[in-house]
Amino acid sequence: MAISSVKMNSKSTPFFADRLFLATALLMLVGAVVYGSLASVYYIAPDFLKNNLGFPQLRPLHVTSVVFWILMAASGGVYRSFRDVKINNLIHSLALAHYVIWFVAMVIIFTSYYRGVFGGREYWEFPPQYAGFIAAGWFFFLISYLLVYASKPQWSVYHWMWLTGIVCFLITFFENYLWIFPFINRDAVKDLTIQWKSNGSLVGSWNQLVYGLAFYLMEKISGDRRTARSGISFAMYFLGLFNLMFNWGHHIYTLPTDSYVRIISYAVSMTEWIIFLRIIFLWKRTNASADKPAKRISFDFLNSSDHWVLINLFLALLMSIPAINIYTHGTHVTVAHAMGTTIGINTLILLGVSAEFLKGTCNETSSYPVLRRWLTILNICLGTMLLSLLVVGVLKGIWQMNPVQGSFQQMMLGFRPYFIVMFCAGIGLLVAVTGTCVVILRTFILCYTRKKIPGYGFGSLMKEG
Amino acid sequence: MVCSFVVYSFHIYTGNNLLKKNLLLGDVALEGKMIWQQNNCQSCHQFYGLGGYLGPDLTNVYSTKDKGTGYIGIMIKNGTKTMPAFKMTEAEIEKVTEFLRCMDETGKADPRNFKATVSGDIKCKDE
Repeated sequence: MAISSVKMNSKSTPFFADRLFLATALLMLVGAVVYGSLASVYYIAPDFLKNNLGFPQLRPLHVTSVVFWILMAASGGVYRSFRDVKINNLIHSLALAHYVIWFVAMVIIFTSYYRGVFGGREYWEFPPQYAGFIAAGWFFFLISYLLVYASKPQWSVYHWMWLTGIVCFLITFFENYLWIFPFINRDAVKDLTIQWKSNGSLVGSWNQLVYGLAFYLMEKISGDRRTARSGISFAMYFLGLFNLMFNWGHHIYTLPTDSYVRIISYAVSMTEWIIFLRIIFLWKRTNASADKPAKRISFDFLNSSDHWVLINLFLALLMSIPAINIYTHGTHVTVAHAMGTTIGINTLILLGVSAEFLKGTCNETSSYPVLRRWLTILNICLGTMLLSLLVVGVLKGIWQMNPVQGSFQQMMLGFRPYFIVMFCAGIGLLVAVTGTCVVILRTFILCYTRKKIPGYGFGSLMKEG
Repeated sequence: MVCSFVVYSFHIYTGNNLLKKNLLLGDVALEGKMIWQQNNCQSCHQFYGLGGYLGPDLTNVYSTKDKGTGYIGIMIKNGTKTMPAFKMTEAEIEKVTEFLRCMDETGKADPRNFKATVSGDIKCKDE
């Protein structure tokens, strides 16, 4: 099947923004696991670095690195798809402007964390005045996306998912800063409600980008264009959008806000992952005979993410039932779910995208056995970490509901053995993720500097197929 | 679906549940909230189970037996093995304490305060 429709004007500047985004995203991922590992030390050695790089600094460093990893890698993947349609100098400039603005924002934000200057809000913990950089860069992304795809007929489901992700990200981002208005800031419960409405939808919007990329990769690997245009795929998309808009309430079941928020969320939350799973399994069935897994490292990453989807679906469904949620809310079960989705699903899909990008760069396959080994270690360590977090979460849930509670410090001391396991698993993750990123980046740099670039990513991939 | 989302969002933005209960933060509490945010206290602590996991939930610390104003001040000034000692002035500590007092009035975060119903939903035991 020929998808070599890279329409570049021969006089235009070579397009490299997608590579910049993906390479920087991989560095952010390494940063995220380094900061995460350092932060986890606090659970077993509380006074470690306490007066130098305290937990209030390490947590935002970790969380912001993760958020930038996901958003930059997803943006890089979408920019990569532009090569299939058209790229002119304007689009190239907009993509570069997006990159430069975000790079400046990252430098400012990370410096502010090191200096101990915070905005103090979950996910976006930097002072609100820096938010303009993020919004401006993203606005350029939206404009370039529309310039590339608006005139394209017959959008696949991933085109709609990407547009939804881009637009909804902007909406949730603005919503996140409504607290600067006094009528919301003075109402602490409303402020928490809106904060978690926007945070929940923010995750939903980056999920649209990432799952859209999963569809895109599936199409490129299998050569089957029907899946991304099927009715079931669009049904899944609408269900995802429905959840993005209305299921965020499971974060705040115990908050004294209007009860309809809880009821709507409970009803909506039950549905989200089911159709996506079905799509994945349908794809695997059709792909099993035609695909050549030995040549497809990205297949391995997507395949691994399938298993984490299943585990996290089960966990999400349980946590969305209010009667169970009162046991798990505010415990490490929530952390396990967050880790499971960001590492097991989002990160694995995005590493698959990055690895495919590597392959497309110079058709290099010698690193695949190494990448597969790192992937195995990553999966084992993630599983161990989730298990330890789940045990701690369940024990804390029981402690929370106990009529006679000991002190918080005593409880945390009792969890120490599980935190040690969590820490060790975290170190394993640090090694595996860093190893994966180093292999991908090293191969990319070698290919790029030696000019071994026979084609552009998926185009060359499909020609080989 | 988009219209429903707009209506739903608008309702959330303009709802006034604390205004009805006359529990909006006053100027001092609002300043305390900003100090709370500037020190990134949510990275370790929670309100209604939302926030970090290294320290305890502080929604009702103000009214907890053997805690309250004096306890909050001592903890901020001296810290613990895990928590750093914050270099705050007495005025700043008073503002944070006032913010915590106001948060305490908004409701009970203790999950023991809820009971499950047959449908899997929850109800506050006080209702």
